[in-house]
Amino acid sequence: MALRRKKTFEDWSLDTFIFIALLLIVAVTLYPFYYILLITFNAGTDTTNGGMYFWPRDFTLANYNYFLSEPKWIRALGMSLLRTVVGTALGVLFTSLVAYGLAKKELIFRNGYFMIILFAMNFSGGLIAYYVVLRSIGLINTFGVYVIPGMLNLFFLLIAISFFRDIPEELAESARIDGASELRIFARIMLPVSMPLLATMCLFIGSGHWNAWLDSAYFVQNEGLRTLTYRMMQVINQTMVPSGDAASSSMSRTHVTPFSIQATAMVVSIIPILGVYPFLQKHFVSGMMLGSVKG
Amino acid sequence: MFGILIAFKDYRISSGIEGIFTSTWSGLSHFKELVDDYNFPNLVRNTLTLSLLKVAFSYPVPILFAIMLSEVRHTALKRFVQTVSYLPHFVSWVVVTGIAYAFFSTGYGIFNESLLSLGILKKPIEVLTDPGSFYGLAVTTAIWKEAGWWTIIFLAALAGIDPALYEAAEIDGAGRLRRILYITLPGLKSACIVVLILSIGSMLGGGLVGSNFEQSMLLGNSLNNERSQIIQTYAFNVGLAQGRFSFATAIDLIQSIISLILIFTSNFIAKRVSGTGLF
Amino acid sequence: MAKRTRTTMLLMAVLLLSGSSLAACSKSGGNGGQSAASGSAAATAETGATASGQSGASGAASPAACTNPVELNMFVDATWYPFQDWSGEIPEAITKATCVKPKVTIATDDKQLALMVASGDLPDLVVSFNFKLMSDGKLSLPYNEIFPKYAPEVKFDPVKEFVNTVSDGNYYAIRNDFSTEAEWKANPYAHMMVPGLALRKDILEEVGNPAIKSLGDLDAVFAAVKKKHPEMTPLILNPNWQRNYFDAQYGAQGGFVDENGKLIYYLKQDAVRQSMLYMNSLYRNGFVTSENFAYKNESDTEQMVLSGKGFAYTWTYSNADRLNADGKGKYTFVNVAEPLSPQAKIVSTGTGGLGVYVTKDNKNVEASVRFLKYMFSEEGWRLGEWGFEGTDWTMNSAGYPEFKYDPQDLETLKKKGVYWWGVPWESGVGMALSSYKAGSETTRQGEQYDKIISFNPAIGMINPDNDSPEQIIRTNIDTMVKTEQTKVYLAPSEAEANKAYDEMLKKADKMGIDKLEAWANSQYGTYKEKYDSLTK
Repeated sequence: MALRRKKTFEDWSLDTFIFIALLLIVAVTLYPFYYILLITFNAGTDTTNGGMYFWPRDFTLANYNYFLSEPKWIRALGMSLLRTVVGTALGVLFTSLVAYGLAKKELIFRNGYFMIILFAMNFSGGLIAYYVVLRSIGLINTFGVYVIPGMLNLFFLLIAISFFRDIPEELAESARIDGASELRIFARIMLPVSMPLLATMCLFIGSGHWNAWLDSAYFVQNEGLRTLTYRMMQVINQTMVPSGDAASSSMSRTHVTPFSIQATAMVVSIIPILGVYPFLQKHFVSGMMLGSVKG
Repeated sequence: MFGILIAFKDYRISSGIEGIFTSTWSGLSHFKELVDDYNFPNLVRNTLTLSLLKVAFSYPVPILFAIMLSEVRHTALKRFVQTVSYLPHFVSWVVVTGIAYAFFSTGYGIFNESLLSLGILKKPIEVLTDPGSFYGLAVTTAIWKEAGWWTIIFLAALAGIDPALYEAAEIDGAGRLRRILYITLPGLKSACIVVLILSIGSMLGGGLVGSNFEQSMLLGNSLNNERSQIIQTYAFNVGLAQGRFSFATAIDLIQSIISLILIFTSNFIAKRVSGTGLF
Repeated sequence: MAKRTRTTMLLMAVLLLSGSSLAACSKSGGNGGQSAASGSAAATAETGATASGQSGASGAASPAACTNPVELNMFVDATWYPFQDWSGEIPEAITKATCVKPKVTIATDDKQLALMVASGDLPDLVVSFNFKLMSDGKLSLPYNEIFPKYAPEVKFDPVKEFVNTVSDGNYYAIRNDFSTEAEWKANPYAHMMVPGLALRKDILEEVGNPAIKSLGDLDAVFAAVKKKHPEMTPLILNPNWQRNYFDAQYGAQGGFVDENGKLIYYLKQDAVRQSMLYMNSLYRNGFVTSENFAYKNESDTEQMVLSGKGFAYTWTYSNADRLNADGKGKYTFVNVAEPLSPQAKIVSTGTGGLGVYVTKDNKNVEASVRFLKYMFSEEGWRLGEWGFEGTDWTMNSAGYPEFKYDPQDLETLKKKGVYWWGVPWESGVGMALSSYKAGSETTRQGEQYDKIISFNPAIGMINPDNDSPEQIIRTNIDTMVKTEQTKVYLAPSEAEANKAYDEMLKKADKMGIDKLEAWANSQYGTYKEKYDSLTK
């Protein structure tokens, strides 16, 4: 099955070129990230002096301690997890469902829907009007405010529509002839075929939920509903006490600077994403494997 | 949606929600105020230049990167590179700024230090304070941050290309480059177009890589603001920060209208040129 | 395929379960009443003011055992507030004394308050700097109505009432960090905060420890330092205190300035021009780097000084003390204690910072007034800010507190719950007394600068309303100056610096600076008269 072929000169040069390019990209991307990691393990006040590039100069766990000493974190972590899972599931399902419908050329008022989508994407009535709408539906201060407004992700709606449009009609046709209902076709055929798309949506929408804190700030007053990132913002904000106040000097005693704390917050929030990512990655890497030459 | 009305009125938030309907009409006065500002030409020039540069430079990068990745045969390497590439997406702009300051500072930043010691530079480049370098700094950091993330979308599109096409082309004797040109690229066509249109539509905010506002606020300072001040930061400083919701809403409205026009136009052109569009 | 779906479902289920169990496990977060219910769906209803059958009868005398404190929602509109909740031995003592327990929410974002106001979902109490917004009959209840009703024995200082009064004749808060001229004079140990300049003691001695009596002397010192230590920057400017110190030396003020009885906007003062030209000279002489003007974070600049990159640093009068404490003894710093020019003067126009507003939606005005009354009293705010008298602090015979704990240690403050819950009610004098330390650099400079401070809060009362044409003019001018002043600072010659300054004035003219001044002057007369009548 594997085509046996000599590597041509073209193969070689292309491969080398790509290899070098990728190497550069990795270096340029990875190093700053490594630097960030360094910062979290280095005393914030020392970092400001600059010049530290490969190893922490003043190793400390103070930055992480600063975060983890907050007892309300466990609950916030739970809330974030819950919200991400539910929100992503709802979002991906709902959006792909709507996209599938809109991809069909026969849909009545199709153009009308598109106009609405485009309009909604670009225009917003502003924060105040939004708040009022949420309140009238009764979503303020409930868990629902995290997952329901985001169920239809307009951006991905458009991307998904174009994806679905590209799927050859024959797949659906043959199933229809066999008597399958539309819903069946969607669940059994369309979804599996669009795994790369769904995986991507899961990733983007999921990380959006994981990192969201503004809605926790604006639309929720119940302390029990706060998300992890909201708590992180609180911690970060507290490092920015304006000077001129006697007690603000106590901040620098802890060797922690706003910068080192922000870096730490970032590292902490990226860990779960790194954990989940490999599961999703295979979906869009696998397709390509089939397309390349077996060497 | 009726929140948009605020843009045409003199709204005081203390009047609450009814205030949206009952405040006095100010007509186009907010818009006029924006245009009359002494800095307005600068703001427009900066916003447009920054946006155009971003779209032009950041758009091809994810596509190229996705194609390159697809040509790598070593799975482990492929997955490693791809994972590393999207990490910067999660770095908040505040942290990026901190890093930028650490790397590019003229006093002790690694960028200048290394280039000086290698002899490539005679004098340190004042990346952080020179207005001329603002665009370069902004566009580069934006690409660094977001390109890897957007690659994922294109990778997903690539995964949908029928592998049989590649095999057939190989049998027919097509080389790697030709395979890329005639199979990979067309396979990506619809994804490319959708992303292009969306990115042009959101151009004012920075397109794909977004973040015009954050960069301007964080990387902009009193020394480079000739280039770094954009309409959005102006709106923030003069509008929201002063509690002037009407003014801020008015500026938002203008941007929204422009975005919509851009989307329609680019969609129209795309349909004409390539046959497919967004809708 | 099916297997994969199953594993994904399993994964999701695991995440969901762990999520809900974590969310359900209620750690005691300090607020009693954290429900242990499942973390999903219907939120636990806010426990508003519980038992309303409160014996709120007794006023000042310690109330009979308070079994059910009234819970009031308190929103603090300051994202950086170091205390997140009402916990610790001090807050508990306050609750016992007032039978009120605030349920605290700290803002995470600057727009939160505006959103609350616009949507009409206001808490019971709002602690905020936003005087103009909250001093509004549509949002808050006026002190001059609720205090006479529920606590008629409370009498506020008439000057304090005056500076907090708005155009409808009411006052809705008595803001903190303000004291009348009389109060300042009565407390010789309280020194008002002023800008300060700190120098490295060791290097100062290296260049011969010369007397610094004028700006010229200062320049000479900078030059000497530059020669001896070419790798060092002679002067590093704190991004929040760039020009203030030098403004003070030239007698330049900010905002509106009383020049011969009429108000002008600060840009028109000759002293401001001179101060900016001085900044320019600092740059041209190489005492200040241009990059300094790009820094935004004062902890960054502080670190630069502490790591030996700079000789002098601008900040507040507690400059040297702070640097010494934060630097942990690596270097020693001293303040330039005396004013450097006969023109030096500071006019205090402040009218206060944080106000505690009782909103229209307040569920229990009586309890709120009781709470406020206690916190405004000497006993109350001293408890909140300093702690228990005797155990935590004692009043020195001279008239300032001596602390038994380290008031600089944030951990201690947090545990006891002391200092920050006294802040919203501290007077200017109170705040200054908190930081008094005999013989410290702060005090050394404070004493000297007391002599050049004069008071005119009538000016501070002149503030255009949001969205008024005057406010627009003012914002435009301020934004313009912020952008353009760097051109003055970094001009290559004095002549060009002058020209750049003229450009700024021209732009300000076009923006309507005259209209702004005219509007201010129309109000000044009445305010000044009233103020004078109250203070003579």
